[in-house]
Amino acid sequence: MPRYGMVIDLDRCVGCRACMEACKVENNTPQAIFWMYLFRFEEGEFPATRISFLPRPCMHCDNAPCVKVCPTGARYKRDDGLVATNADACIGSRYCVAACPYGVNSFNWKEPKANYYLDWSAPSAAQALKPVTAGAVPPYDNPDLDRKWGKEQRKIAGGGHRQGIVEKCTFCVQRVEKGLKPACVTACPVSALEFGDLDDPASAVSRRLRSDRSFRLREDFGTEPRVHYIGAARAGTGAREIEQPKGATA
Amino acid sequence: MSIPRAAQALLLIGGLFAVVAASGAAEVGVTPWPTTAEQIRKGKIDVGKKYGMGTDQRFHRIHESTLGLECAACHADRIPASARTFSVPPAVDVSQASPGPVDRRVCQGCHVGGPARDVYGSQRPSEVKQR
Ligand code: HEC
Ligand code: HEC
Repeated sequence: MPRYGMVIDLDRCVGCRACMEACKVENNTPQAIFWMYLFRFEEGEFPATRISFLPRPCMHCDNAPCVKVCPTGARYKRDDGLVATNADACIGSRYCVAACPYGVNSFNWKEPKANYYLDWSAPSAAQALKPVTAGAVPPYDNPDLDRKWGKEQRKIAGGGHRQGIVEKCTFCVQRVEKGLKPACVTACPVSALEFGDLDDPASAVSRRLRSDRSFRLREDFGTEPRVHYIGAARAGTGAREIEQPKGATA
Repeated sequence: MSIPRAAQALLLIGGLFAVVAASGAAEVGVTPWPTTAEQIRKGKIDVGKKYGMGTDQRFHRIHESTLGLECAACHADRIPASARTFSVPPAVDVSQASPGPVDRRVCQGCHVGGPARDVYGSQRPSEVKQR
């Protein structure tokens, strides 16, 4: 059984947000919901300023608080380490939202639309698409998302986008089970993201972890995240988010 | 005597939750709170069956109505940058009615190694009994 994890090299990341984009296309996440989110930080005063980035998927914690508080068992930890949400069992209690120190869970307040970004079936869209993709339609309606996955055979790929339930990054379980890497990893133009088996010493994640000092986010919560960060370009505590979440300090 | 809200929040963050909870509990006449915690878990104190974050649902009924925590013990005006929750800017996960963001360090005061259920402690998810 592999022990899947992710390594994110902050020295390589250029903050382009291709990871966010790839995630949206692959998982067709509703408007304003980002399973992968890239924070942009700024510190210092002009002209001595410094900018840094932090891609933040779900941490797929080994000691996941969200799994512990879920009242229905909809949120569970798979043998390979993926923290999954069974869309059929979620009752929308939002306890995971409350317990997660990383803010990775999103609640669907409204019924998501089937397709937010463009109605590909409209003739005007088809025309606009032609010169860009030679007519190929992006997989906004990925049928894999509605299938059941894993030995438990549960609906965990996020196709359950619907009002009243919580969703989050799945590490692209529908790709991982086919031997592919998550969409964000594949899309990163500078290979800042890497995914693989942390137990396999020859895997790219293990090699990268050996080559550099690593850290994980908010270790003080004892969550034991499976996402490791390497590189020195880490935001200091004085850093300001360039686009600020509600309620954060300047 | 009631401790001012800001001090209460600070005390909680500092891990001196017992002092605060005792004073909170005294106000609503339930004491000591570890017993209360167990009674809630065993269903001996009625906190309703609605699992949710709404103020009339279990989460707030437990922490606010039953344990007597003030809103400001958890909801702050702002969260210091050192305690970022890494939530997404549109804040889609928080209802507009919320009195303010919640610094998750507050929860650790009670939810690491008891008497409240293990949320951030060393117990593995598989060891925590599902309801
Ligand atoms: C134990 C800590 C705690 C206490 C005490 C507390 N809250 Fe909350 N409250 C939370 C958390 C956690 C959330 C989830 C939203 C978030 O993450 O910011 C929340 C969310 C809310 C929401 C949004 C509900 C929703 O459906 O999204 C409201 C309204 C609210 N609180 C009101 C209050 C009021 C009023 C009080 C005092 C009477 C109070 N809270 C006391 C922790 C607390
Ligand atoms: C003053 C101590 C205290 C603080 C602070 C506190 N809790 Fe609790 N919490 C309790 C007690 C006591 C219970 C009920 C007994 C139990 O479930 O163990 C409880 C229950 C819960 C439950 C189970 C609810 C249910 O429906 O059964 C969750 C989830 C939870 N807390 C999460 C949190 C989160 C997240 C925070 C921080 C925002 C927090 N708590 C802060 C004491 C606290």
